[in-house]
Amino acid sequence: MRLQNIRILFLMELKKLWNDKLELLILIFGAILLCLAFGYVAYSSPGDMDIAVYVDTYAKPGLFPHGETADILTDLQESPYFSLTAASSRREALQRLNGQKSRAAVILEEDAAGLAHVRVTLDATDLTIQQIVHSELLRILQTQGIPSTLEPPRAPGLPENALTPLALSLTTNESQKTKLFDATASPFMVLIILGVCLLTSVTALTSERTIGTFERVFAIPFKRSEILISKALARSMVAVAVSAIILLTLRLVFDIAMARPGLAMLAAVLIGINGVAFGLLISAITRIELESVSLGITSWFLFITLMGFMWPLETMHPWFQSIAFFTPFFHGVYAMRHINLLGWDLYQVLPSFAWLSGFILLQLVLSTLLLKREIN
Amino acid sequence: MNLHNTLTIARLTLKAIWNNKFAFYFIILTPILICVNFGYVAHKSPAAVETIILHDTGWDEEWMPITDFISGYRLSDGSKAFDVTVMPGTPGKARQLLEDKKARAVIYFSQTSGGTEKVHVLVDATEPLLISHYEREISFLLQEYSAAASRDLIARLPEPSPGYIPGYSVTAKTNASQDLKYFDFFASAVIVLIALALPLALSSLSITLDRSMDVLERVFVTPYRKSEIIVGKMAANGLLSLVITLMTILTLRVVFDIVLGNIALIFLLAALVAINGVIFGLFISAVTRKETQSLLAAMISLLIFMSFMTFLWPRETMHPAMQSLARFMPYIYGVEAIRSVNLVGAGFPEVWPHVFILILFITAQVLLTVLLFRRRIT
Repeated sequence: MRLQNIRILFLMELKKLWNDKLELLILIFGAILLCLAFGYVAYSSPGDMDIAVYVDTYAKPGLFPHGETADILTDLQESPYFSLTAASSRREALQRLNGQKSRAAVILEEDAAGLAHVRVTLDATDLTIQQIVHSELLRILQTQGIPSTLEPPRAPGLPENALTPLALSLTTNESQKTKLFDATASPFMVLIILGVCLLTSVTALTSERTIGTFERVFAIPFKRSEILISKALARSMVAVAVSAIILLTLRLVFDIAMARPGLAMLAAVLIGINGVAFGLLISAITRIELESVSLGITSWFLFITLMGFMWPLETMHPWFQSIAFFTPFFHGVYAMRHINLLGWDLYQVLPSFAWLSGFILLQLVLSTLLLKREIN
Repeated sequence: MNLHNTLTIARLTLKAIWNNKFAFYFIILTPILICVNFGYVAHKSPAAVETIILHDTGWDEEWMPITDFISGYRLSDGSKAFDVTVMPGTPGKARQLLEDKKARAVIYFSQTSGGTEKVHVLVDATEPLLISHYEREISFLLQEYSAAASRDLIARLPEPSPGYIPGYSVTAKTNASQDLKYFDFFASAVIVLIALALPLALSSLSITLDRSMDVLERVFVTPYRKSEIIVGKMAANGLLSLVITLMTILTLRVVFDIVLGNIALIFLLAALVAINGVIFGLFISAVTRKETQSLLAAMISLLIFMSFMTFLWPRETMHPAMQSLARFMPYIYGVEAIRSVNLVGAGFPEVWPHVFILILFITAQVLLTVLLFRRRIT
C-alpha cells in the first residue's frame, strides 16, 4: 500500500465532492435544517393538554361538606399539564375525546354522600400523552382521595402521622440541568451523522462503475486497499464537517447539554467514519445505484431502531438486544449520551470508542476483500 | 395529456426496476425486514427493570414492607415492574452504583423518628423512556401502598368512626376499540413511516438516474409532455409503493398480530401516504441533478417529516410555529387517520377529511413537480 497513491486518490475524491456545489449546499443547510426541525419539535414537555370534564352533579354545588369535586376541579385547573374544557354532558366529553379535540374525558359522578366515582377515559392514539395524562390525573385524584377519606379528624382514633402518604423524590444522575430536547439531542446527532455519511457513501463505488471511472482507475496499478482507504479518508472529511455543523447548531440555537464538547466531537467523528465505512461496504458489494440505495436505506432504518434512540434495550426481544450490541451505532449513542448528559471523560468512554474504532477497521477490511476489480 | 404516452413511460420505468432482479426482490423484502425489526425492538413495555434498593443498617425495619411491595409490584399486563436487588449502603453510594451501570435506578429511603418519610429514586439520566417508567410506576406504587396501609389502619379501628367518609373510586381506561399490546401503539406510525420512506427514497432517484444514464435524452426527443413523464413515473412507482404498503401491513398483521381497524381503509390511507411519498420523491428528483444530491435531499426530507408526524413526539411538545407548520405536511394526517382507525375503531365518516387532504397534497405536488421539471439534460 503506497501513501502516494492514497494521496492522489484522496485528492481526486475531495475534488469531486468540492465540485458538486449543490451537494455541499444540501449537506450544510440540510444538517442545520434538521437540527432546527428536531429542536423545535421536541421543544418542551407536553403542557396545556385539553381535558374534557363533565360533573354529574347530584345536588346543588357546595352542598357537600368536603367539596371533593370542587377541590379536584381546582387541582386540575392548576396543573400545568392540563387545560380544562367543561363538557355539558357525558356524551359531549367522550365526543371531544374521539374527535381528537381532547386528550382525556373525566366524568365526576356524585351521589347523596358526595363524590362517588371518577371515570377517566384516555386517548389511546398517543402512548406518551396517555402516560403523562394518566400519571397526572391519578396523582391529583388519589392525593385528593386519600386525605379526604382518612384525615384524622374524620376518622378519630387513628394514630397521628400514620396516614401521611409517603413522599416521592425522583432525580436523575445528570451532570447539569437538562431540558426535554437534551435527552434526545445525543441520539439525534448520531442519527443525522450516520444518515448523511452512510447515504453519501453508498454510491461512492457504484456510481463510478456506472459512469465508467472505475475502468480507468483499474487500468492503473492501484491496489483495492488504496482505493478504499482514499475514499474513506475523503468522505471522513465530510463526516468531520457535518459533525461540527450539527454540534455547533445544537449548541448555539438550543443550548443543549454538552458536558464535554471536545469528546462529543470525537465521538461524532467516529460515528461518521463508521457510517462512511458501512456505506463503502454496501457500495463494494452492490453493482448499481438502485441496489446500493435500497440496501443503504434499509440498513439505516435497522440501525435507527437498534441504536436505542426510540426504545431502550429493556423493550427489545432478547435476541435483538444481542444484535443491537453488535452494531456500532448502539455504542455511538451510548457514548454520546454519557458524554453529554453525565459528563463522562475519555477514560470512561474508552470501551465505546474501542468498539467504534474496531467496527471501522472491520468494515474497511471487509470492503477491501469484497471489492471486485471486475467492471461488470 | 395523452394516456397512451403516460402508460408507455410507466411501463418503461417498471421494466427498468423489474429487469434488475436483485433490486426488485430487495425492495419487496425490505418492508418485511424493517417491520420485523421494529416489532422485536418495540417488543414489550419496559418491565423487570434492574433496580437496587439501598438500606441503611441503622434504620428501623419499616423499609422492609415497602421493599417487598416494590419487589412484587406488577404492571397492568401482569409482568414485574422492577427486578429488585436489595443491598446495604448509605444514600451516598447511589450515584456510584448508577455510574457503574449496576442498575437503571437506585431507591433509598429517608427516615425520621416517625418512621419512613420519603422515598428517593435516582434514575439513570441517559434513557428518557425509563425515567418516565420510574416516574409513573413508583408514584402509582406509593399511592397504592399508602392507600393499602390506610385501609389497614381503618380496619383495625375498634368501631366505624362516625366522621369516616368512604373514599370515591377511580376507574381509568382508554378509548381503544380492543385490547392493545405495547407495539400496537407504534404499529400505525410504522406503517406510515415505511409507506413513506421506501417509495420516497426510490422515486427520488427515478429522474436523476435517467439523466445520468442518458435515458432522459432519448425520452426528450419524443413528443412526450412533461406532465406525461411525471404522471407515468408516478404510476409506476405508485404501483411499487402499493406492493410495499401491502407487504408492510401483512407482515405486521401476520408476525405481530397488530390491532387493525377497517383493513380496506387502512390500505387506502397507507397507499395515499405512499403516493404522497412517491410524488415528493419525484419532486426532489426533478429539482436535483445527481444521485447523491437526490438521496441526501430525500434523507433530510424524510427525517424532517419523521419529526413532524408525531411518531417520536406528540403535537404538544412542538413549538407553536412548528405545530402550524405540521399542518402543511401530509404525513401527520396519515398517522392521525391510521391511528384512529386502528386504535379507536374509526371508520370512513370520521377520517374522510384526512383522505381528502392527502389527495389534495398529491394533486398539489404533481402540479409543482411538472412545473419544476426541466427538459434540459444538464
